[in-house]
Amino acid sequence: MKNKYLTDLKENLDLYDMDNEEKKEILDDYSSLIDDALNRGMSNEEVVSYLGKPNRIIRELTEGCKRVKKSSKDDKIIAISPFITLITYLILGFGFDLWHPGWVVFILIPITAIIVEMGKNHDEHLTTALSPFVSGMVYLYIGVYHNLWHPGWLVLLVIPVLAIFNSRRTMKFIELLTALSPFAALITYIVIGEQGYYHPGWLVFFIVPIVGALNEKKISKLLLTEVFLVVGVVGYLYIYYTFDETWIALIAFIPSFAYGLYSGHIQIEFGNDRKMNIVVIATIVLFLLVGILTTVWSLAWLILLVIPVYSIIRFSSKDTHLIAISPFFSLTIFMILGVAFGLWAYSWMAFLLIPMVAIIKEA
Amino acid sequence: MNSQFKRGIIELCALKVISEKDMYSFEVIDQISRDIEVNENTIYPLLRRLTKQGLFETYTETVAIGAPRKYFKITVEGKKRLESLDKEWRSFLRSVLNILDGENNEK
Repeated sequence: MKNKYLTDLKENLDLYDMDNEEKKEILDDYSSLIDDALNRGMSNEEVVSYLGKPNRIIRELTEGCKRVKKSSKDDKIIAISPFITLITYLILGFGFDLWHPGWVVFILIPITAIIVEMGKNHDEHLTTALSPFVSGMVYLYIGVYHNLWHPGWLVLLVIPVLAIFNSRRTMKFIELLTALSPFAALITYIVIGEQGYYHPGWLVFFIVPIVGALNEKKISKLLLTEVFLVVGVVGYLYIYYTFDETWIALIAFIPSFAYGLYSGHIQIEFGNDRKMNIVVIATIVLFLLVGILTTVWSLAWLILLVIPVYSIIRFSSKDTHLIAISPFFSLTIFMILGVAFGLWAYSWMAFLLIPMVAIIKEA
Repeated sequence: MNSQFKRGIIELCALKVISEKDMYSFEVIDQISRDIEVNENTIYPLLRRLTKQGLFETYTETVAIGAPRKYFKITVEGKKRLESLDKEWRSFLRSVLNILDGENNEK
């Protein structure tokens, strides 16, 4: 919601002749306002109605500013780009028999529009907007020509990483590190996993709580959390390599878990929603059962996605169900085709479902 | 209520609450909307406008979680404006109450 609100607001501000610094200041202020409202426990709808829809507040915000006339030069460049692209494609095809991969030139159309529109405003998310095209092309290249679909898909992580990095202005350094840490962990996990160390390589995910704990203000609590986490990881490795027993090695995490509960960093809450509680417990039990019986943990975890999907269906508005659920479906299809059938070359197409669903729903 | 009329009241209220304590935007909105119904929010744009007019100045302060927070502080100019608006409104309200209570008619 926050991103959408700020994007809408920015689009509205861009319609007016206003200093970029001033626009940035307004966006920063609204970013803080939204955070404050959400921290007060307001729902997304309440926040929007509390702050006013961007198209309703824009007149007040831009008082004294003139509406900008869109540069006709920009329009011309955007309008002409499909023709140039088509001509280039035909030349590549007829002239050099490069129909494939010559079709790639068609991505120049959206890229041109993005560069022209966002570049003129020095939009800090320009690279974020370009990243799906660039990383998608790189992914296809290393997949088609080097058959590295897996772990080549890691290049797609550039998209969320850039999005977070380009939003660094609104974050503290530690928050930025915390937000980036899951991606760093995932990349490291896949890299060392491909060397044959998926286990105990998964321990690298502990980097996430280790970095996250740095947000703790109380030094004593911070130090204790870090010590318990590190001791848990080291203890696990020691027991695992000494006794070669995974389940026994997990005992090493009991002190960290206990301290997490004591300090409040880990909270187990069961609300009054009986149905939700049943779904959560049943899903976890099913995940453990399937995992233990089949030992296919790399797919079994997908069962856990039932929990967010169920909560979306239960607690979000009907209109947004399909769009909100589509990433989970895509991820499930991507993983099943990739892990179970080795079809990494095609499984990525599952992610095309996300924009397709959004476009169909919003059209 | 007429929007221009309401705008004047909100301006006075914003000057008043910030004169008592430096506040960040959400605090101002929260405080004012407790007593006055604000449909589509106009308080933040108003704070910006009054800042541009030199009635407020801003400074940022770091907070435990999240980006640094921007606080609004009333200026000498702002205090003068508050005083003059306060007088205007009180006199205006007295006149309206006089009419509503029928005091002028009794004389």
